[in-house]
Amino acid sequence: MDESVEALLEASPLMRPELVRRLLSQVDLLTSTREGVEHLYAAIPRMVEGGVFEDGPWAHPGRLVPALVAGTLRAGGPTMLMEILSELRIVALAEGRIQRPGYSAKRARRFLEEMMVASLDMVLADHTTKPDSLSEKDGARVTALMDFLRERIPVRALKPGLATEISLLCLQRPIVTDRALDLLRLVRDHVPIDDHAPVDEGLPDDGDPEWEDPDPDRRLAVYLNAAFTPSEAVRAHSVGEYEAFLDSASPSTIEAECRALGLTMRQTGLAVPHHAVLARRVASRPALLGALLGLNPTGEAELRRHREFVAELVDRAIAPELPRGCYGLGRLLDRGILSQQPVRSGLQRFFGLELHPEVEGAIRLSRPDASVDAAGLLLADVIAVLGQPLGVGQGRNPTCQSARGISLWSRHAPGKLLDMIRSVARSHDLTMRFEGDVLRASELGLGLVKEFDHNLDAVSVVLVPHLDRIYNEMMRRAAWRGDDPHKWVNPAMYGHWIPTGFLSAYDYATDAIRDYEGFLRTFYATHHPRYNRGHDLAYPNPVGIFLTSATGELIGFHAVSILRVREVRGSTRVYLFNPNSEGRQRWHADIRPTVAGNGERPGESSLPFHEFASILYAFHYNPSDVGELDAVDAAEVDRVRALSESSWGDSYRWVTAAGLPDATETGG
Amino acid sequence: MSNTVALLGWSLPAIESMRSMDRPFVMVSFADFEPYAREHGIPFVAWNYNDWSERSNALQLKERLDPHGAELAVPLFEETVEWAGALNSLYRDDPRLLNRAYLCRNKAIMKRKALLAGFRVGLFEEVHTVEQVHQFMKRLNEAHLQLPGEEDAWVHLKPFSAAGTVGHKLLRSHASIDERVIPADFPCLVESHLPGLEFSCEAFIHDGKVRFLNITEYVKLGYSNFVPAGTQLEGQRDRIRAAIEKLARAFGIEYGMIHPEWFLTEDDELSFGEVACRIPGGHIFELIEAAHGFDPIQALVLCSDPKVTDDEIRAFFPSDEKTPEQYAGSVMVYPKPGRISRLEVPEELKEDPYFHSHTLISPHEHKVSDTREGFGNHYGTVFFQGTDPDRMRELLVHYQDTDFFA
Repeated sequence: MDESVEALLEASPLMRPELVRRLLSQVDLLTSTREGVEHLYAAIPRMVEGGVFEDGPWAHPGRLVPALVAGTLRAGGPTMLMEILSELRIVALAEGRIQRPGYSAKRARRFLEEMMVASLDMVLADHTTKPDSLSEKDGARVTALMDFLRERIPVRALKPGLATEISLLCLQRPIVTDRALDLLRLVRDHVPIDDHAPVDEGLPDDGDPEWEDPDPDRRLAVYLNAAFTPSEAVRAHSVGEYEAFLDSASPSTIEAECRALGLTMRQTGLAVPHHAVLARRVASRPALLGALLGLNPTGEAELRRHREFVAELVDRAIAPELPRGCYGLGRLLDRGILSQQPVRSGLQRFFGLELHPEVEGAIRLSRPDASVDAAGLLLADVIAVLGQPLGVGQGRNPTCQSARGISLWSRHAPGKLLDMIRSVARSHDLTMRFEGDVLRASELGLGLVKEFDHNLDAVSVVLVPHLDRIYNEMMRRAAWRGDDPHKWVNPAMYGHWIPTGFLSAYDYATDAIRDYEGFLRTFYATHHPRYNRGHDLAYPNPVGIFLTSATGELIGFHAVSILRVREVRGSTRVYLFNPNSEGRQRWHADIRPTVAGNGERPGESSLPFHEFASILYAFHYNPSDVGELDAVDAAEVDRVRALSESSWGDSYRWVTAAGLPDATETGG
Repeated sequence: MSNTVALLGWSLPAIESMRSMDRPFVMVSFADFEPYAREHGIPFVAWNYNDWSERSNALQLKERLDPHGAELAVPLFEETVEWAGALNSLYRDDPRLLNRAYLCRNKAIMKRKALLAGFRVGLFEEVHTVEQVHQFMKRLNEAHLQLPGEEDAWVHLKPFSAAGTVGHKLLRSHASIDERVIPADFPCLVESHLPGLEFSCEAFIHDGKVRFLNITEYVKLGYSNFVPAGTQLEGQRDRIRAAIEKLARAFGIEYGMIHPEWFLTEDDELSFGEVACRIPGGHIFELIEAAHGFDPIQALVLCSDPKVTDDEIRAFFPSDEKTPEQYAGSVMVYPKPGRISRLEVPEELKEDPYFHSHTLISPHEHKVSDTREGFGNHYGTVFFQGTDPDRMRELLVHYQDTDFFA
């Protein structure tokens, strides 16, 4: 191998890809043992000098994303080998064995910590437990690398990062909490926590949470308690034993259990199997169920009003194998929508619903271990989707449009949503209207999804494949009309509350950015409280944004919804629903939405108004609500434009309103 | 004197070799490569080799090359051989050079030429229809005194001018003719199957003399080979050298490198397969460099140039009389038909002392077609180095049938 490193040092960049590939084949064997990794680490400075990392995705350490490392390691083959070498390079940077301008040792160390937090299952896998989906050999490679890393960055040093990661996951109140629970399980089993530290009152459930508690042990303890020991009785009894415990418990003990379990669930959004056992036990006793579900006054009133109906929901949908329905049910009651007749009768029609075999199979696939019937699993997630509209995610599927739709309908058309879910569940088919025609999903071509990721809530599992096809068909029919097809597709897809005004910065006819200033002014005049006479959004606005890589290159388009615009600490922010990456998707090197700390409600992400404006490419608006376009501050427009030009703007030609090339933009 | 060499075709290793040779060069290839060449400061002339017409021929190409001071053309790939022949005819004012290039580009003509020169070749014929292929097989069967129920004689079908195994079909029965031969194959060459150990030579010729002779042992055509050849073939080196010299004389080759393929039967009968005048496939040049320690691309350029002196040639090559200590071999890996998703390199390979390196890539999951042109695109190569040719052969035999993909 050392010989090949030297060959690389001598070669010109032309032959580098071939030489690197051959070098990797020699690196291969070394990566699977601890000694081998040490040997590689010793050779890293020469490899860096020889250009092993040049010209590829690993060229710039500053552009690497810690959260993506685990996935890359799982890819196996040369990709995995490069990733291992890249980690060793970052260790060398952290230890000062090599230097790189603009990438300090401290930054390298932070990268490694973040990477280890994001790959905790790999970090903590030992020789007996290899992470899922890795071959034995690749498992050995990961173990060798992680042993090496752990020696330099001990697991206890990851606690602050872990506490933040888990808080950020939970604060958004996702429907699917598996990732947070998996992380907590790893922390419980492998990371010593000093639980003598006094536990604070915990986290308030909305507004700005105090998640920046400086003590990571204390922050982790809140979540560990919620996940494993919400009460002493839960600590002492397994799920099976807990039933027996409740049988012999006094009324006051049961009430205390309800309060304790209700508190942790309300604080963290985490429901555990004991929640389900307890909920079934107290299903017809509103006072106790209310405490367990952690209801607000609206929820309490709803529960009292519909006690029998709620008891039936619990009986049919809440099971220890899928306890997340407990949290969803609480929030459903809190929203007060059970008093809407279409919601109640819509839910009722799920009772005794016979599922289409394909639908049943898909739901089973998303929850392979559950022994509860698929109809029960579906109903639990129907409840969760209605309770947590902003907890819907797209998983690894390219279906932001469909996820956004489910979230929108849950908030504003829950009856329609229930009807859609039910008809797909029964018939494995979905019909929607588009410009007078009826589109039937089963008769349409494929959508955007190639291989569906089933790691989603059951509602998404059932609906998304059909929505995806219908959306794709609508886009096909609306293409070539000389404007962005979303102008026609969004109202048809999401509902007729979408206003008729539509503006896109991208001009389909000329494949250029046209009249960007007019576009920005209109956005400010309709959405910014200073220029739109202080109006708030009545409905979420489905908008399109440019997605750029961490380096600012255009990757593609993405769909999010604007939920509201607010002034926070003197700056105006846009609050969004983004179904991707738990709302924490990075949109540009310097444009990273936050999900907490800036007044976000659970499930929202937010950005300063001007930053959001700079990545926006299309939005809807009500033409009668447009404020004074000229009132929009020219300096503000220039600031946004400068941001755009520094990122996705490079990928387009810019033209002025007259449709003639702007000399300053295209003169070169 | 500029003595710029025009390299016809695109090859990064060739560019690398030229850069370390300290001799001016210009790459001549399709316009697609131009941006890359410009970006990396590689002298470049864009040329469409597929367009041969009044306005696109060697005269025009020469005009494009004149500003670079080109005085010599060296073909890198099969499709550029006649272009190099035409250019060199102009540079050396010798029209027959072009004819010689054509000789290497038409398998029927080259076989006839070899037959006339007294080489043993298989039975061959130029055919235009499927029926003629059946007739050919029938006549071969007659010659083999086939009895009812016995297998048909094997027939190889090859395009007249294609590199290596491209378009090559082995037809083992009349049924397989109907099954596999398509109208687009015609006209083409059919020939009888030559038995024996298949090998190739890479003979570097300067001023009509063989200056270095490498023998490459084919373990399986299109899959695996190693350099230098094993003891059976190297034991016949003198005979092989004599045959090469005779071939070069007959074909009138004075400068460059030839890459003929031969068959040696168990009773030491030598048969001529075919000959090419460009860089051989199957990583043979890389293996030559690993085993013999010289850069064969530089050797090719030197030998192609009549102005290079005898002393320069002598100084460049090691002696080919002594077998080098290191054998270098390679296996080209093709995934088996079916769905593949993941590269799995066996541990025992990586741990083998003969294992040198590999260039296998992890494919994105996709289906590998079970029909392929030639041998299809391979997914990388495994390289070996070691001192025992028999062990080398054993390893190549083993790994050419190993499935590297799950």
